[in-house]
Amino acid sequence: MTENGIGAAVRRKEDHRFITGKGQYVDDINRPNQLYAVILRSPLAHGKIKSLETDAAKAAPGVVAVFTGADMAAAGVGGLPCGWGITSSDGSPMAEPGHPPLAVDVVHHVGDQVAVVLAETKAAARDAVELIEVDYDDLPAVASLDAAGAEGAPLVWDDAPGNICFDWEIGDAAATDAAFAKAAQVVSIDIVNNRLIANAMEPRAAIGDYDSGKDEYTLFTTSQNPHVIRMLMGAFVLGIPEHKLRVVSPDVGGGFGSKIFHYAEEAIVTWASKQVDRPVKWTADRSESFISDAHGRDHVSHAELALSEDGEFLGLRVDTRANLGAYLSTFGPAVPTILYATLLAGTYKTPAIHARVRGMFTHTVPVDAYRGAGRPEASYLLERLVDRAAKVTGIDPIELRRRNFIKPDEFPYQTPVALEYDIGDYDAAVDKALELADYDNFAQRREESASRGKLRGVGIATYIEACGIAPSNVAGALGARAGLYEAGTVRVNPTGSVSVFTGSHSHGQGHETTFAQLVTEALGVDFDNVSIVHGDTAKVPFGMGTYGSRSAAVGGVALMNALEKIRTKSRKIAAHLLEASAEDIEFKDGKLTVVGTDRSVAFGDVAMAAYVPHNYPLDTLEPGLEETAFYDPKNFTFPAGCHICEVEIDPDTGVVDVVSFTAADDFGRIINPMIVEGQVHGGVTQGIGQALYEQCVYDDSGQLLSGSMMDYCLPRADNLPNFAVTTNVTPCTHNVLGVKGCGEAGAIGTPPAVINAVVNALSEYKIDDMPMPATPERVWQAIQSATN
Amino acid sequence: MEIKGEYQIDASREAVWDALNDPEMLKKCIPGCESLEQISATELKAKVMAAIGPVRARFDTRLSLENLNPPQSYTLVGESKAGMAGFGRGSAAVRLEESNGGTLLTYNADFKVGGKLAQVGSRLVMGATKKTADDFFGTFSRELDPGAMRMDIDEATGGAMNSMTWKAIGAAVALLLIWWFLLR
Repeated sequence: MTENGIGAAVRRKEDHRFITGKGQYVDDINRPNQLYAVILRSPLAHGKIKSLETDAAKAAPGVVAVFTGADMAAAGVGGLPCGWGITSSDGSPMAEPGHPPLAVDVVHHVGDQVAVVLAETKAAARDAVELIEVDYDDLPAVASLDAAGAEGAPLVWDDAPGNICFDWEIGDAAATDAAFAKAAQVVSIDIVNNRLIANAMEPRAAIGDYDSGKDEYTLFTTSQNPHVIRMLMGAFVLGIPEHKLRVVSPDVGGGFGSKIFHYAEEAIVTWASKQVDRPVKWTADRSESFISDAHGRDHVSHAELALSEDGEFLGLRVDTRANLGAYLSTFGPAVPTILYATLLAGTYKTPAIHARVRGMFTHTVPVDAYRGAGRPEASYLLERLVDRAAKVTGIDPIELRRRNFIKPDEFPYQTPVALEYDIGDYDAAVDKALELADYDNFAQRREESASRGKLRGVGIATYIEACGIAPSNVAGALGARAGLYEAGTVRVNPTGSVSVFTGSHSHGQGHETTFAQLVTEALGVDFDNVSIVHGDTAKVPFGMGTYGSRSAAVGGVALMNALEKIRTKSRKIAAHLLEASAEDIEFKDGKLTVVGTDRSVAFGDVAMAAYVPHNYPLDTLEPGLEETAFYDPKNFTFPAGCHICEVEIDPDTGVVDVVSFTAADDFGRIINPMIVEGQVHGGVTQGIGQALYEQCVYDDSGQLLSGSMMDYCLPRADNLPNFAVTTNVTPCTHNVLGVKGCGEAGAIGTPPAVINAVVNALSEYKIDDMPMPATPERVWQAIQSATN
Repeated sequence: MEIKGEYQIDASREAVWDALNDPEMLKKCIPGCESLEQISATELKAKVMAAIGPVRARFDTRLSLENLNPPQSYTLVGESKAGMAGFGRGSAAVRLEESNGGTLLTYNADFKVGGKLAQVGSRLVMGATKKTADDFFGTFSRELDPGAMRMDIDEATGGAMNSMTWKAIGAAVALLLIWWFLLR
């Protein structure tokens, strides 16, 4: 390992600018002569626009223009596209309603865009929005899965009867039925995966900047994947070819999935900028984020597990309804299907699995990927079910899991739900977690808590996730409408410094550090002589961006492949300079040496020779030292692990206190352990948030009631213990780095570990279920019902 | 949301009825009322500045009187729009009964709010509406009869307290609410 290479806990390069206030976020960018956009949003969940009067707003001081859905439709603007098509089990395609950037005639959720005001100042735009008169016919709305599925429920879309977008299945129904028929026992559970709002620290923002001199557009946007936005908005919404549209995503303050998607505001500001020939800037306020950022989760499921006499899992049957919201967000349909049901095998050898998933429309904000995206839903369902099975069979929950684990010598392992796991060692993760959590002495701690009148519980969960979704052709067969590779360019500059252009996008992940470590490892270049450029379609050749824990496993590997090309060419140049054969050149620690001799040349001299090719093999080799690689993985990567949570409950108040949390994760090979640990901390925190605090609430008429930080409870530092984090490495078998991805694991394994601990703490009351979030009120009520 | 209350007003039922139908009187009594205009015998238009929790907005309100049964009862149907802040709509059944030599006014309202009002203020709407109703009838009673007092159905035992006491309790509750929010 070189000093700052792979495996080193190097401090993050980017933090200096973040902690000194020098980060450049979209809202920090101001274009000359820019206007400010404020969007009028629907206060109704479902309504017909009878009249929309904008004259007073247009005449207001400082207002330059007001646009409505009719204006955009008249200009031929298309709808926001969905990036993933799902086919129902009867072979029919999913219902795919149109999604105009500004609503035309009908609004479908509170927060739906109705009109946009452009003015000289944000204040003027805000004042003018108040002058727009909209007269709505209030239409009946459905906000929950139960309401949407009820007999005679109002329809969100006329061409989606029963509000069903798709009715999809995976697995072998007959084999699963047969497994249940021979089961010694069947355990079932009803699971609600609570709806969440991502709440990235930085609200979304977008600036559209049309250059009428060149007929070119620039969009600055808070996106996790600028090239994807360029493709979706350019090709489907506004009809702008790639060479006329530049998308820039500078520093972005957290995404958690919510900034993957192409949002209406991006198209609105880009289109409006051309209409008024001035830059147009929009920045969401926090209230707007609550009703316009895609929400996450929101599943209702029933699951059954068939077991043999000795606790062997024979079959799993799952029926899930997933709330998709009013419109299909970019990856909305993929989350409860391809990213959820394919993970239902978990870490277990269940031979027969069948899952039915119905995606349903409601009059709510669209639902899409949120940290983990489908995998937390799978893991929560499975690990709650397994814990219940342990209780019913009387087998220790850890022993029951171990009995059913896929063992290290059984990889590659083909699950009954499409995936082939390449490698893993689940017992090893459990061993590490148990030791770190001091599990053996739990009884003692429980006694100690009891002496203080507190109920202590311990919960365990294992998880598996699939990251770096790939390969493209398989994903395409499963409905993906885009490729899932990544691109990276390495430009070695004449003096030997290195600029890397990556299609991955960093919005907190620390790529400027980890990717520089890869360069240092491969070329021996000083860590400080490497800069990582990302988030600009004018600089980076191509990219699919960052989501699904894919940056290291796909973007990092693309970069390694480009670095390998640089190494190969460098050897050829060095061979010329040293008058040797390229095969005899060894490239190590920044030096190229003729094997077995002391004749060598520094990498910097090779770079200089490439750009000042006076002594250079011009007949056989191009000058310059720059290489690009596109990498399309052969398979997903499969991080897995074991989380153990201990809680203490105050029976008088119902307050749940997480007193210890242990994570033993297998992320494959680790590039920067400090950054990995930080990712785990963040994911676990969000997992604890889902388990104990966060809940998006709509009333029956589709009004969002948890629409501010007063009513939507995010976890805070004083809600959290110090986490005990460790790793257990089985390197990914199909990428050169051996990496798997670590961004989402915390949010996947944590919720079941916490709820299993809560249920365990309440065992003396015979409480065997606790919905998320396990708020003090719910816990207290459960205790009261059990004791009265 | 449902809300109800009752007020004892020391004035004749006819006087109370007339006052309730007098736009000038209403304008005086509605807290934050900037303008009030009678459009027809049974329809009113008003602009009211109001704050519900963190949402402060100008409400364009249209009210209509239905089921008129003078001087005993009527139903007030209304809709308020506050632009970006959202909307409120609902109805209130108002009944006047002769009681203790004066008039007992009871109201039974059912309403809903939407948009930002629901988003950030829903928990506060009940309290704010109750307060608005109390303020309205407090002023109304004073205008008609300076010695009027108010009772809540479920707080009828407090009938001995004068309206100043009720105001003080209201203010204390509001302060506690604000304090609680700051602590969260």
